[in-house]
Amino acid sequence: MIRLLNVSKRYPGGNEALSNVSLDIAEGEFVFLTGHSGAGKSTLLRLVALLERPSRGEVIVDGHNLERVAPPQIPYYRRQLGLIFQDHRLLAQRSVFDNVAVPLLVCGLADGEIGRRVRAALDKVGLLHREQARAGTLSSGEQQRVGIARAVVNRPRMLLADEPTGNLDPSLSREVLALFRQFNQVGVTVVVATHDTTLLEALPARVIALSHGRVDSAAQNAA
Amino acid sequence: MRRAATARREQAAGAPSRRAAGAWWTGHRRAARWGLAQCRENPLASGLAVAVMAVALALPALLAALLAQRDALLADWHVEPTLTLFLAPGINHAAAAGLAGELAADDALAGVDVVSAEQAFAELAGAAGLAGELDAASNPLPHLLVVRPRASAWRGDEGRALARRLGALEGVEDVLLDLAWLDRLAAIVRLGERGVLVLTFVLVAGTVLVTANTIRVLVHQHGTEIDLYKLVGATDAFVRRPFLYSGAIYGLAAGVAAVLVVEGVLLALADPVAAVARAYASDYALAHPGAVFVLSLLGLGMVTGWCGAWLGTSHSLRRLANRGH
Repeated sequence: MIRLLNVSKRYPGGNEALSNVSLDIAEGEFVFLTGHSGAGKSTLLRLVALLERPSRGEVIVDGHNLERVAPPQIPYYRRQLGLIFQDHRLLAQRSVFDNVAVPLLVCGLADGEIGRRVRAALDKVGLLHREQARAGTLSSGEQQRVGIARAVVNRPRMLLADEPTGNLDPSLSREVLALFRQFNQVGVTVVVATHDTTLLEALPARVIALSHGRVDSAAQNAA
Repeated sequence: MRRAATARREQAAGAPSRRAAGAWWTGHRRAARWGLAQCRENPLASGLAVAVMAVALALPALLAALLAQRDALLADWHVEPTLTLFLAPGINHAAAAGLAGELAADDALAGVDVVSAEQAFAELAGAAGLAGELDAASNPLPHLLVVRPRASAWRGDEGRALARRLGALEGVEDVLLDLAWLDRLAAIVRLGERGVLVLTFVLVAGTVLVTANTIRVLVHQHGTEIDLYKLVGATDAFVRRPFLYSGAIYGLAAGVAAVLVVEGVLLALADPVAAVARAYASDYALAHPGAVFVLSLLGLGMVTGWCGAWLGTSHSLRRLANRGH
């Protein structure tokens, strides 16, 4: 599903976030991407989401070399992904419903279809009763669940989560992980980047450890 | 069998296109609603932008409306031009009257007066204060025909052509055509028209820039939202559309305001103009701009607003693209 071949990413100023990374994530797999902050986890996710382009190497998603995705095609590529962020990236002044509806509005779906899909997604994360609440008034855990509902509302084949539990206490973190597990069980490929090693114990899954922009094979084997 | 297959293909092709049309319509309906909401979010900024645009549109519109009064004004001023035909010395009064009768039947002419040599002599002598001192028997003046052309025979170069035609008539020795003042008037009107055009161009360009700046600020305010839209796969067109509607709405509002300003000014001028007209024994009144004028002004407003919004969003979309979204 996701394949990186000798990928390097160097930022202007000489900072090399990834150097010569190769990895393979199968369709339907659940993978933890670990490493201390600055190890290159976020950069890797940004490359897969086409938020950035690699300096060298190839990123291949679902058989398509992302190098060949022209800028006008990027929006359509991104609609196949579900992105989840540490800071939720919610529109605080808007209702929960409006926030989850954003990816569907972008696709131009009709109002009825949007209503059905948003409620289905909110139901999955257990927030159906809060659909009219302002996103900014929710607790941090609830906000992250809204973020997850927004990521899955478009039925993506792939979920990319960057530190999704960064602001949550352990029990809420486990809840969030359980949600990811559920989506993974229906066939969604899930990649969770985290520096929180306690999460890894909560859920048996493959771990790809990054260290200073390289895949740390020792740590990977240990896990 | 083949027909059934064709029907199936058509059905298969038709359904997505209908869906696409529905999505297109839905997208524009939403964008228009968001565009209006964005205008309402900042009443003060929106109001100021509309006011500036309205003034910039009203100024050339007002000049154009005033310039459009000239036809009615000229028609009402009785400034009909005349041609004076000097007849040959051999033509007697009866022949002159006969020629006048022929010319009266000419379609291009509204009327012909005969001024006899004696009348002309008396007028000349009177004007010079020499009545009784000059010898009428030695009158050197010929008989004259004073011809009033119809307005239709007077547009552009028609006046000169008419003069040439009348000058070629038998018995007509010379034609006096006072065109200098007409030429001057035409030149001034042309200058006015060109001035309005240039002013319109400059002020419309200003309107576009004002809108661009207002929309740029709006885009900036919605930066977080736009970032998010781009993250979940919004196209540039999707992001841009509500702002284009905002711009067009500003332009439309400015157009309406400009029409009101023009009407207001014409209303304020109506009484004094009527007073002047009465003083000149005329029933001239300012003409109100017609539907074409009003619609053009509204259209111009919307187009300039739309262009400004395009300009204002282009900059921001480029900036977002550079950030990797």
